Amino acid sequence: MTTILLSYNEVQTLARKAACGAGLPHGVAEDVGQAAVWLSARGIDAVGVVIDALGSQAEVLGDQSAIDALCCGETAEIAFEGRSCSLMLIGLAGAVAANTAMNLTLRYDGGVEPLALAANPAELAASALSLRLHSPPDGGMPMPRRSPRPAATDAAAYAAALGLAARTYVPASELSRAQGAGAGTTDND
Amino acid sequence: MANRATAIATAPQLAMRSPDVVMRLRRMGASFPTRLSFLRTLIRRLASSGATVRRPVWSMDDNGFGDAVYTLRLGGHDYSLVAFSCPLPDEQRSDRVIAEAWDTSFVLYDGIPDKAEIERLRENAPRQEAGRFGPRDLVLSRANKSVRFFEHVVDSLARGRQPERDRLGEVGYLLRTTAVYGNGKFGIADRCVLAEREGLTGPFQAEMLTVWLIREFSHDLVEHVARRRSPETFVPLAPELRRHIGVGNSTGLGMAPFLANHPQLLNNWVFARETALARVRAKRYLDAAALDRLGDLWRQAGRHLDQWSVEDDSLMARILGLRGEWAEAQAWIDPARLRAVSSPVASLLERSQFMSVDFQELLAALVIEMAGAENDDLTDGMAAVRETTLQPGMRLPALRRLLRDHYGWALTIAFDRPAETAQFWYVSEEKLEPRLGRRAAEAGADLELPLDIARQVQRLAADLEDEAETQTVAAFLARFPQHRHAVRRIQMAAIAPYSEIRDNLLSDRCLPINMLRCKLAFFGASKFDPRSDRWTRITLFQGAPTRDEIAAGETDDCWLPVLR
Repeated sequence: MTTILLSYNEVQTLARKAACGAGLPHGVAEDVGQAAVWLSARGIDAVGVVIDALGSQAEVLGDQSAIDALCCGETAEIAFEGRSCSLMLIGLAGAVAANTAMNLTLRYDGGVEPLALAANPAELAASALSLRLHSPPDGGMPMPRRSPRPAATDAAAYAAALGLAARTYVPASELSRAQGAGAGTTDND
Repeated sequence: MANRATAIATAPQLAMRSPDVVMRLRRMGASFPTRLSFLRTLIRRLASSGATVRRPVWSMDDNGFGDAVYTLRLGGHDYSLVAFSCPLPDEQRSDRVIAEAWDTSFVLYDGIPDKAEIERLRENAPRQEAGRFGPRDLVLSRANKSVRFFEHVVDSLARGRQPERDRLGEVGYLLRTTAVYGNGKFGIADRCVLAEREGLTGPFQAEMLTVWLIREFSHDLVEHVARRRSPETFVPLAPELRRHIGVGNSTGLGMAPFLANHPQLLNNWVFARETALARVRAKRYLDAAALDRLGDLWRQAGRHLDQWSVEDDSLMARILGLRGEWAEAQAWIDPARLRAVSSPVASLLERSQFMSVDFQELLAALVIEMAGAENDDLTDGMAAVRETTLQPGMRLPALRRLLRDHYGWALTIAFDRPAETAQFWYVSEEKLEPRLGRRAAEAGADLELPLDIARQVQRLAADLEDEAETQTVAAFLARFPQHRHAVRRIQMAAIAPYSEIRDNLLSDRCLPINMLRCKLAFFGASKFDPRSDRWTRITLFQGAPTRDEIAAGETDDCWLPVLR
């Protein structure tokens, strides 16, 4: 498998643009970008996860709504059963946990893991059962840690994401070139 | 930040200017640098840390083409500017982002590069966006020569003379950067790496360090070429002229959406400046030293205005008007007069309300400068760890209240008038850069960027009208996910009052140059020189200490440079 090494900013921007290109609203796409950072900091090819997840936009929207409802107590639990992309849900929840210091906890077949401490979400996703919100521990939530660089991105997923992102770009025209910043001026002064 | 911001804002002695006044495009487009500007912060940090610059590599031919490395230690880390200088045909010299070759290219490197690393950077840095970079590459930049002035300085020094002061004053730089990339672009290190580095924690500090070192490189390069041209008659640049040579920069539309896309960061910058202004305004009296300082700075600003001339008719008319107002108002700062009134700074600021917006903003920057180091603590709050997060548990009445309290400006815009949607922002496929199009004449409006904040807010307000009072934001967004972006911004406004540009960015009256000037003033730029309503040239570090002077800290010319 050919991979490419991106920065976190590149992972986040590409995931957000791909989500926009796939048709998700901008505010949701921003959260997809945050989720990609959270996942890629924990050893996961997040761009690949986003590409998989964008195959079912309704599920991404549903994931985001469910996490909102969980965070404000309107639902007690989000079940993983029947979801096609568990890692996207975990990533969206992980980003919320990291950004808000909420104690979102993953229940899996074999135990319970606060997302703030989750080092290997890919392993947990395979047997994930539900997400719940718990009170933060005494002394507050630990600061999330992340690796210095994101996990490598599969070249095919990267190309797919670029393709989706490209749907948001406007081709140049003679008019746009002529009216662009700095057009028609000399810089040999 | 939010708690701190709220605490400061609610302190009874501080009367902050309203966001409805401060966050208008016209006023943002009258911004001047202040003591809180990012390059000023860097200079103070370099000075206080005793930073010394070394130049371990200088491999240049007679024409000034080759490599150089500058290193310094800051906060326990070594940083190196790796510089490459190449021949460039005139027909390829362009400040536009679509250029593909430049006179010089640079990387700020984390550590001291060995030969293999320099070779890697030599393969990539001159290619800029087409190259690929790694985690030890912190900032990527390039610059073109100010060709005629560069040659004039070379010729002068080679003949044993100093360059003409008029020409130096007119141009003010030897190299003009056309991009300074940070935060993970093209594979370079992410901002989070630098956020933990002592000395580089503030906004754009690594970028400012890069530009300051590029300035050193430009001074050395011009002297090198002059010396090689005529070793017998060569003289080095006089220190006062060297100090007045900054680094130019060309900035276009690509920078404009940044302010709208980073509302928390924008708030932190403006909040710091407005807090400083409010603190100074609250002074009951000014002692003799402060009154002297006020007078000195007034004269300095006047001389700076006299030395600031541009080709742009609109800005030149404003500068001429400002020169006149500044001279007329000289009597305001008579020490006897100011000693006789209580709250003299507040009195000055109140009187300025009858002058132009340019005058008001220059005076605001001046009184902050007068206060000196007493506001430097505010720079600690200017960075943003992250943009704000959604509060899904908020009830809709609270959201409506925030919308009404902070977005009244947006609700009054008549979007049924074509003029209010005359423009649209988009990303160009050609260079992946933001552009501004005319809706009636150009294709692509269906792909416009979400910079239509006011329009989004109106649409949100319409959808909120019939919703149940007891509903949460979570439930509302489950049905209306298209409003997630606007809801997040509105929730932020409660704790970040200066987060939003309070103007319609789609209007035919929206001039991107105003957004550019605001951001560049926070960088510390001076000598704004617009070339249209969508791009400008500026000067950075003009009048700032050189590497031989940095130990002494800021010069008197750091705020608004004057060629003396």
